[in-house]
Amino acid sequence: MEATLSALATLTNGWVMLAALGGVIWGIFGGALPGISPSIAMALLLPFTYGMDPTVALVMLASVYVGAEYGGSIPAILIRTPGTNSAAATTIDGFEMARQGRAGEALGISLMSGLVGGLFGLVVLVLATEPLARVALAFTPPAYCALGILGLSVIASLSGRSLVKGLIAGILGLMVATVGTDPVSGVSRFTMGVPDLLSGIRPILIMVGLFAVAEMLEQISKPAWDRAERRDTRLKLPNLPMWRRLWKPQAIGCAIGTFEGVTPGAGGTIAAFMAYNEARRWSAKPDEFGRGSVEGVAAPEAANNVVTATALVPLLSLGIPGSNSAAILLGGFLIHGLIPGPMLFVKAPDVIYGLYVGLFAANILMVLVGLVILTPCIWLVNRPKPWLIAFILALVMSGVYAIDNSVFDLGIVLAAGVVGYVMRRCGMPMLPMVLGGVLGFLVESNYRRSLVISRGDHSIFIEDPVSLGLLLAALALTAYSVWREYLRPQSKEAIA
Amino acid sequence: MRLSRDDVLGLGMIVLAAAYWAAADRIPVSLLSDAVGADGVPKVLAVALGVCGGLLVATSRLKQQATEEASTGGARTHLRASGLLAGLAVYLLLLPVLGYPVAIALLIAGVAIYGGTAVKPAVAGIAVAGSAVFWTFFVKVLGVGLPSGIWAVGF
Repeated sequence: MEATLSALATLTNGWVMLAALGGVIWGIFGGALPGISPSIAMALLLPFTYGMDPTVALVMLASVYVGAEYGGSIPAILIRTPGTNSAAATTIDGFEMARQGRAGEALGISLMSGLVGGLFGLVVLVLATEPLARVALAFTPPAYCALGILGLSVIASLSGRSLVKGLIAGILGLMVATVGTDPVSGVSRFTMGVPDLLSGIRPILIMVGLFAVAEMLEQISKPAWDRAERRDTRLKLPNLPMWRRLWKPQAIGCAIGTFEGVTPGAGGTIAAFMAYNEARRWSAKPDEFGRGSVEGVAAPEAANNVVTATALVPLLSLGIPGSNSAAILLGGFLIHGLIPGPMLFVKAPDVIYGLYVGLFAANILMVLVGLVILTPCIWLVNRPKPWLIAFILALVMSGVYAIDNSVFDLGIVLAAGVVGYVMRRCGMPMLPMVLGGVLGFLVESNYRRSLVISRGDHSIFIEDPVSLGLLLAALALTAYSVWREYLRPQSKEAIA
Repeated sequence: MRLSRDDVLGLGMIVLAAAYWAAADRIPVSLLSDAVGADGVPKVLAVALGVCGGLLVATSRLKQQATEEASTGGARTHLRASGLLAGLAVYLLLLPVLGYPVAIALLIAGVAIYGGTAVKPAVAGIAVAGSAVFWTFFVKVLGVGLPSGIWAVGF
């Protein structure tokens, strides 16, 4: 009863609602800018929350997180540039739909799937924080390594026509992840004496180069590239028959997002890719994936929005920030004298309930803001192509510089753009490279930590039950994907 | 024997794998090193890349691609892409000298004109307006320390 009253009081608090609205708007714009990650968008607001009421401050920060995770999908769909790491999987079918003149439909599905994911994640957060917190505690270095390998197992189904090319792309991504300071011994690797490389190459730089810059190079190199195309410029929300088709991929996204969210360090990227892979596996129309499938947009979008809520499970219950964004939120708690953990539910229940209500409001406001801004966004990307390319490149160059105030980062983005252009020309899929770049450090660092713990004995990976389960799942997924993609007899329709 | 695109790609990967192995071999051994070592995983990756490169060449040869790959537009399309890339490289060089507001305006105008927009005063107007919007957002709103270049006093 006390909780309900507290929640109602928060819901009618104008400042909380204003904070949620401001946070969502800021988050959507931040997430949509290539280079401004959700955590950066949150960090930029953090200083402004010092003087605020704790509930208002935390709702604002959490709303930025919700908005930014959704906002990352807008450029992913419209210009094939994921604004955030977790939106990378959305580019596959989202951009394909946009290319077919169905950008409004893709954005509508993305928005509503994000809402479903966000609300489902919130229910999980409210009802299951305590039991799910135990999942987070069960993760040891071998389990994290196995989790990364499970994420990499998706490569087989992202490889397109050639498994070998997909593997090469994945290995290239893993190689990029080895650049920088060695996670165990601290020696520098492949830095060629360049100090800027000591902290490694951020995956977002590779993504922006591979997708945005390579896409611009590709666009401008096409004959008659600036020929006008007829496109639908209106946002199109899913109707009832579409909802019937979307519930399954959304449910898959919600389930995977819940598991990945409560696991510190896993994050929305693995969740989105795995949800995409599973949605394809369970789809009645798997051949549409990669060619503008609505399910291929719904699954990753639901998954990465579930994570915005479930990633708070280990933070609230154990005080463990499982991601950069959760770490910023932890900072928000600490500057108001609140220490996340089991005692927070006893000492400051009003803040917790206020945060829950704020997250609910943020998800609803995300849809309202989306309805207002998405149609102008579609209109914007339908401007004359020379201007569109000029402004996209200006945005990319400005956003990337903003990450670390580094011209060197811009050079990396250009180099990645050239690699992406060459990969396209060679028919190599780019997503495995992104996956390798994102997961490489997680896999290597935990693999080696595990061996330090076991004194070089690899049996630690099968003695740990979580690790064993994840490795078996990775093996099964890989075997199934290879069979489905390359060994299964093709239907006549698919061959045609 | 004419090399297909996959042959070239596969051979390129083998060369890259060899170079990566050589670079991994030069990583210094630390007293803090574990059993795997800083070079352990990179060397495994080098071998895997080499094997995949070899597999790509082998499958390409087995297919004996009688049909040429679909044309990708020829050298002219690559030249256009190279021109844009060169423009972006020039932007990187000019950014610290001319400063962000001028460099980004030149980038916007340059790319638009390179893309086929007719050269007219409106181009300069849009570029300057775009530069002002970007500068206001990134420098004034986000507080990003973008280079001021030779105009350091003014900005």
